[in-house]
Amino acid sequence: MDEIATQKLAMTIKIMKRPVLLVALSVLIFLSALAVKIIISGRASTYGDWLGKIEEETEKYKTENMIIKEELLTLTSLEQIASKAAELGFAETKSQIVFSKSLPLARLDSAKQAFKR
Amino acid sequence: MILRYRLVLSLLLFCFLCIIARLFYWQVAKADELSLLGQEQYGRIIQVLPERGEIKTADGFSIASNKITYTLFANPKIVEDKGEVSARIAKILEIEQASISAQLSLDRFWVPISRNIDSKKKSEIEKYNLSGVGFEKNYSRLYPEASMAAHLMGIVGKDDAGRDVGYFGLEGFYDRLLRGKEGKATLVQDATGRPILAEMQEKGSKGEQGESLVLSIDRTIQFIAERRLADAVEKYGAASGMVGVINPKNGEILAMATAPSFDPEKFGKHEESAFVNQFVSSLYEPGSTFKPLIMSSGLEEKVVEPKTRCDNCDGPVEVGGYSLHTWNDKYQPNITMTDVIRYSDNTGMVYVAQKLGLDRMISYITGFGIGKTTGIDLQGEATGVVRPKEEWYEVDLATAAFGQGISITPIQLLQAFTAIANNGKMMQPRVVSGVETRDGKVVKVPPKVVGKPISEKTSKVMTEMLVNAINLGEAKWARLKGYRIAGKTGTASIPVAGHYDPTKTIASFIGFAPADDPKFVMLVIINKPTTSIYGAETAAPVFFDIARGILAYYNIAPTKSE
Repeated sequence: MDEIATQKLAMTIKIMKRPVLLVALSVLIFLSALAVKIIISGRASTYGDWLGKIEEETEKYKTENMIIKEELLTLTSLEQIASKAAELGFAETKSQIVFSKSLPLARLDSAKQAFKR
Repeated sequence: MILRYRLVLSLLLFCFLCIIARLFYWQVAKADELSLLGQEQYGRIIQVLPERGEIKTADGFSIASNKITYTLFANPKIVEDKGEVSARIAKILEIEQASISAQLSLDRFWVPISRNIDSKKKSEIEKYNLSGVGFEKNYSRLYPEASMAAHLMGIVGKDDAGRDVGYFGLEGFYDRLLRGKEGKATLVQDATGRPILAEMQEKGSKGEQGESLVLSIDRTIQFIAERRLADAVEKYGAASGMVGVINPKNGEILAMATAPSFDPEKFGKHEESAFVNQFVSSLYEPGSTFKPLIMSSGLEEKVVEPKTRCDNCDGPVEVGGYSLHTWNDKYQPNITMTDVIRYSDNTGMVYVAQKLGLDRMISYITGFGIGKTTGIDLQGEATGVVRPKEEWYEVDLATAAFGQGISITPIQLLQAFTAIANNGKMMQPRVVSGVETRDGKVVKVPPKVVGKPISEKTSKVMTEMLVNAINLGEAKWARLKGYRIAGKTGTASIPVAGHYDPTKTIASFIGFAPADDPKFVMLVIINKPTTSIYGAETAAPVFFDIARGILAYYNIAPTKSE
């Protein structure tokens, strides 16, 4: 009888050890996950500063781009170019020279004569 | 024993249920309220300002763009030394110190000090590190070409809520497209005010930048037209002037100018009437520039031919109790239709109108688009009324033939002439050739044929008559040698209180070049010139001056030397 009781007790202890292992494993996983979360949250909490700086830089460049674009448009406007041209002494021409047929710049026999001389 | 156990258990259970119920109340029932409270505590609503779409000419140059300006504001409750702050700001901005002091003395958390401050002045103010003073970024309109095409573009003002709204011209017509949509973002901050994350409250509140317009306007032609027009208005002592240039093949407006113009950045200095684009909004009696439309109608109906002779043109014509004269009281018996156009003979035009008859006359007038809007994409287009047949008297038929007693807008006449220049096909005028979406793609607007009032053959015959009018008519002294240009002068009397003013006219010229393959149709109107009342002596030289510039710009050489 004692032997049977002892065997029963050993079986009971063996069965009870499995859930304990599972529980211990669960607790371990939970604690690891918690640790990872704490580490990541800690790092992410400082991203706001970094994000803020990036946003400031972006805004700064956007503003600079707009100012440069404004200057570029003003300088390349026809009003500005015409005004500058007038300052530099350019005058508008009313007459045009039209080449209705092609004209030679130099003729071969003239060049030969010039060479002989 | 068991009873006590059960009692304690029930009590514990009840306490748990109460806790759960309370948790449910705070976490589910009051979730939204608490969430909002939390956001207000830690978050800030940012308005995402949309940038207004640009307006670009055909070469891609932005004639209406955006620049960054700032509104300087202050929190009077935080500003320490109000005297010093107002003195410093007044000196930099060159405004009265008293106005700043008045704002700072108000019992508010936010007061505006000055608007439309540029970046340079902002930097100067920021150097002083004034407490309680800040800047709000805004966008305002930039016009790099100053007043170029000002009437065409319109202005950007404010509505009652202080938002940008376009008025008149393109800014008004395309306001919804250009303005974009404001967005809102919630910025979550930490205790020091630095952002933790930025998120959108809901889908669709990101805001949208405005879309841009690509115009058919050629900046060079616009520049030439505006310069010549401004010079002409001054030279001829005129009240105002207008020029419109259109591509007859697709209806694209190449230039549209009105003088005097205005600076769209300083529109506050002008009366509202100054912003109206007279080229599309004003009605006038076109005078002799209307004759080609009636003559075309007569040719199309075969009631006259170029060589048809008028058997009633040896003197003034009596119609309905009125005596109708030529503009110079000179008459040519048996004048041909070609010479009717050449000499701008009113009696010859009466002959054509009488041959046509009232029904056909009205049909062709409406067929040429008179009496209805052209549909041009500009705000404020007007249209005259073509009276129903029952309201026409015999004299009305006669006077309409030479462009008096009928009111049209300049854009209607320009559109009608595209039929003569484009083989009979009349094109709808438009200013926008494409819309540039936010991702940079340009969606083209296709050309539209709105009618074919005359045949190709009639348009060719009419073109030859108009070329003849230029070469041999009153404006021959101003024509460009070596080019075949078709055109017609106009000198219209102005109706005043039931009669026509003999001293004031609307001088005009309409034409197209090169006649055989027209690249442009142009209408020039000089309103009430004082040096000379005639179109041949005022509007015609302006037309040829601008045409010279356009032909050179297009590299179109003269066909023969003269």
